[in-house]
Amino acid sequence: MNLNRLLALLKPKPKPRPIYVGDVFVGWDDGLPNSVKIDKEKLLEAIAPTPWIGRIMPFFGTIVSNSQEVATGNLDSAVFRYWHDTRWLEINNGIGAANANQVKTYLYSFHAYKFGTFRWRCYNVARESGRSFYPLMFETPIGGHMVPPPSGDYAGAIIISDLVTATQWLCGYAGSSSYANFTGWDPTVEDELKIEWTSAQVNYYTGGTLRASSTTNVPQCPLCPCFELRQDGSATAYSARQKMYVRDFEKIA
Amino acid sequence: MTVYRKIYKCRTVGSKAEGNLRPEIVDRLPTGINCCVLEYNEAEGWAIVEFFCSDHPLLEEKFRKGRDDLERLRADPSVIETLATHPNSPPVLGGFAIRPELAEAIDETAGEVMVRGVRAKFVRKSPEPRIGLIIDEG
Repeated sequence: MNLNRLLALLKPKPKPRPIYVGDVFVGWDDGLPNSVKIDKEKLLEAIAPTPWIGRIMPFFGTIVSNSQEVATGNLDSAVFRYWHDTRWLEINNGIGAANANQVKTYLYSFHAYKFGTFRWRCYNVARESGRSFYPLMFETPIGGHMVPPPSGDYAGAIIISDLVTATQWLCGYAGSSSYANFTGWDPTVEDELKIEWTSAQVNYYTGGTLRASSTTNVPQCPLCPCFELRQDGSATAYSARQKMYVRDFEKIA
Repeated sequence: MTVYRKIYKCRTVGSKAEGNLRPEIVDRLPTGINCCVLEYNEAEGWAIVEFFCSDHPLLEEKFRKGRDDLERLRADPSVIETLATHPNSPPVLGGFAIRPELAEAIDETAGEVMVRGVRAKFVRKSPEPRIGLIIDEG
């Protein structure tokens, strides 16, 4: 046995922490990035009969990194902490420099919606250069990113983004999009966000006030809500500071 | 081809406490016109709103709006006055973009793109993958 392996064996390991949803044990978190092991069946069983599904959302979906495979249900690779005690969902960027360009963490819902009013609470812990936060994206389930799905249907998107230097909204459908800057919103402060999405218009609210409205390129197709953190090129390392918290996502009309 | 912008002081409806404070004109915003709120004064019941639109030929016809369309908003009963500028108005407010998949041809040297048989200038490629080719910005 070489010296490095011997030293590695002697190094104290973090104590694994059991993860509970309500009273149901759903997996282990050994305290390292990308180390949460969750039994998907148990998680679904734990969430389904509880008010969580209405309060925390139908977001027991998936978080994946370095991948667009958002609908695989691959919870073994999840890097999230399900904070049932505070009801905040913490999304962090738990991956290191394995893929330096655009390392991502998604929280993606399997539920698709077409029009409606949606409300949730959200904030970012800190803004760092080279990292992007998406406090909400509605995207086409499979294609995503405004890319048409394999079915050939039109793709759409409604996005709120915090690109560190600017906060923006984007509204897109069938390959065309419009976007603009928000003013008067600090994403690092806990706030209530809301969007009203009709066939003719998308209205964006923060803190109970309308910030922007778009009547161009309004999506006319079902979209899945999603939250994302991303590293863009220059930021390649795991950052414990990069976290986004989300809670109480619900469709209210 | 340009992004047209206009700033109006507008009457508001709703309230922050009820989560629906908004400029009244937003309830009847014409198709093709977008807006961002630059400032609120809930106590006095007004907001400073910047409207923008574009008549770029690559936009769908129903979304193409020009300067006159923004001027016509002044006639809305909830519009109080026109402002020349506002400190919260950014140099670049917003823009319009298309996905590269939509393009039949892209000539990066000439800065031109062809979509649905129409050839027109684009501004630049956006580093944001969801945006793609920015056709108009301002």
